Amino acid sequence: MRTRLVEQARAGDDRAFADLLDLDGDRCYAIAYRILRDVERAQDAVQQAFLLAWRELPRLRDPERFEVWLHRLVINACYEEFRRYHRWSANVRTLPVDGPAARDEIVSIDDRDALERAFRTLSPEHRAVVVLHHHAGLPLASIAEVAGVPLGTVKSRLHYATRILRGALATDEVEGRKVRPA
Amino acid sequence: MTATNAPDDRDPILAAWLDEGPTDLPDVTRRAILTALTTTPQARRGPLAPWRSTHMTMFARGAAVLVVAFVAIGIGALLIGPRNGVGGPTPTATPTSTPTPTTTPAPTPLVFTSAPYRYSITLPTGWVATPAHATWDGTTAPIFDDPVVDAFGPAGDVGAFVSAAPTSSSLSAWVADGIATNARDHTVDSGCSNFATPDSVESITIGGQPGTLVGFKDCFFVNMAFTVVNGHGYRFAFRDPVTMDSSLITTMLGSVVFH
Repeated sequence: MRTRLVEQARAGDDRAFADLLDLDGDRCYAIAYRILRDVERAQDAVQQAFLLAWRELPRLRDPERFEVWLHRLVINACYEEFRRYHRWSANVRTLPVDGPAARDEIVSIDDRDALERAFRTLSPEHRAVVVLHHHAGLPLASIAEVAGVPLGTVKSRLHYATRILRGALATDEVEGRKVRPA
Repeated sequence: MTATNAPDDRDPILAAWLDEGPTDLPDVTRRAILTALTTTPQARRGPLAPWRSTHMTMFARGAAVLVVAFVAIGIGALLIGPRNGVGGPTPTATPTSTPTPTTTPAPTPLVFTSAPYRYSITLPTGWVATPAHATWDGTTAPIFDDPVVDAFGPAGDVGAFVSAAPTSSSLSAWVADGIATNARDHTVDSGCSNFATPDSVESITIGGQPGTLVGFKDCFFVNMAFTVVNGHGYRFAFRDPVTMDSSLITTMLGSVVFH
């Protein structure tokens, strides 16, 4: 179904493109929000990515690759938003809105605060790998394809980012604010 | 996989934290995207590619008409123009009639001159130029609609674009930097994943100066050409892999004059 919509949209069918937006918009937005940690920036990134997709879609040779290609556009738009944001803005912290509550209180307030602070120290490239792996559930090879980098680079980024984030949780443990099961 | 990439008992916390937050694209964003489609033209599709959709927007219809007209003009030019190639039809001696004066002058190629970037280039017949209205600093990889590029192409489209910036680099260093910058800025939106490794690298002449032509087979940017002249590094980008064939690129680069 998606492939047919892509072919139609590639030929200029804006209704087919609207259907693609319905199919993929939420997922792209969820990824963008989690990379940028900012609702408005995520909306801008998704808008930018979808408009670029519409504009360049006729040049996409293989409709089967649309989903990967779209994810790449979203990730790239997030990079641009991130750099624009950090160039012109101070550290403005935007808390999640209208999202689901924490699952069964798995994430304590301390955890959430520690992870938020640690995540904000990561580059957008590291954030993207973390989000695509831990949130979107993509295998590393697929992340490499989406990010347009070698598999080794994905592993390296995930290694670094995961160490930072786990370390943030471990720090809490050391400081005695949290006791974790072994 | 490294040890840190192995599962850890803290990972469920990390995953749960990542799952927090919004998951539905707001309607206002959805509407904004769909509204913007009407003013966002799609990139030109290669003339050999099939048109499969039964529903076409007004823009798509217009683009189709332009493509057909463009192809028709090209075929006409081939049939009417002088043929020196081997294997072409042998000209026959036909009686010539007195030429009838025409009120429509034959289109002539446009010679575009860039004062800021100090070069001139002859464009294919029918192409128009959109001059840069900002100056490139050489640290980015501008695309076809960037204000720092001189953009060339048929009306409403861009087939090639040029930018230049002061540099003290050698040609080889300028080329390496150009490839790396392009890979850095455009791998994600290029539709290909090998931007750091071109499919071909060829020594050429650009306006009588040594240059390098870098080719990518399956990317939106099919070719880029680089040269360094009088302390300025030049970047010529050719956008469409179907219509920007090698002979057209060679002709355009050969027409360049540096000032």
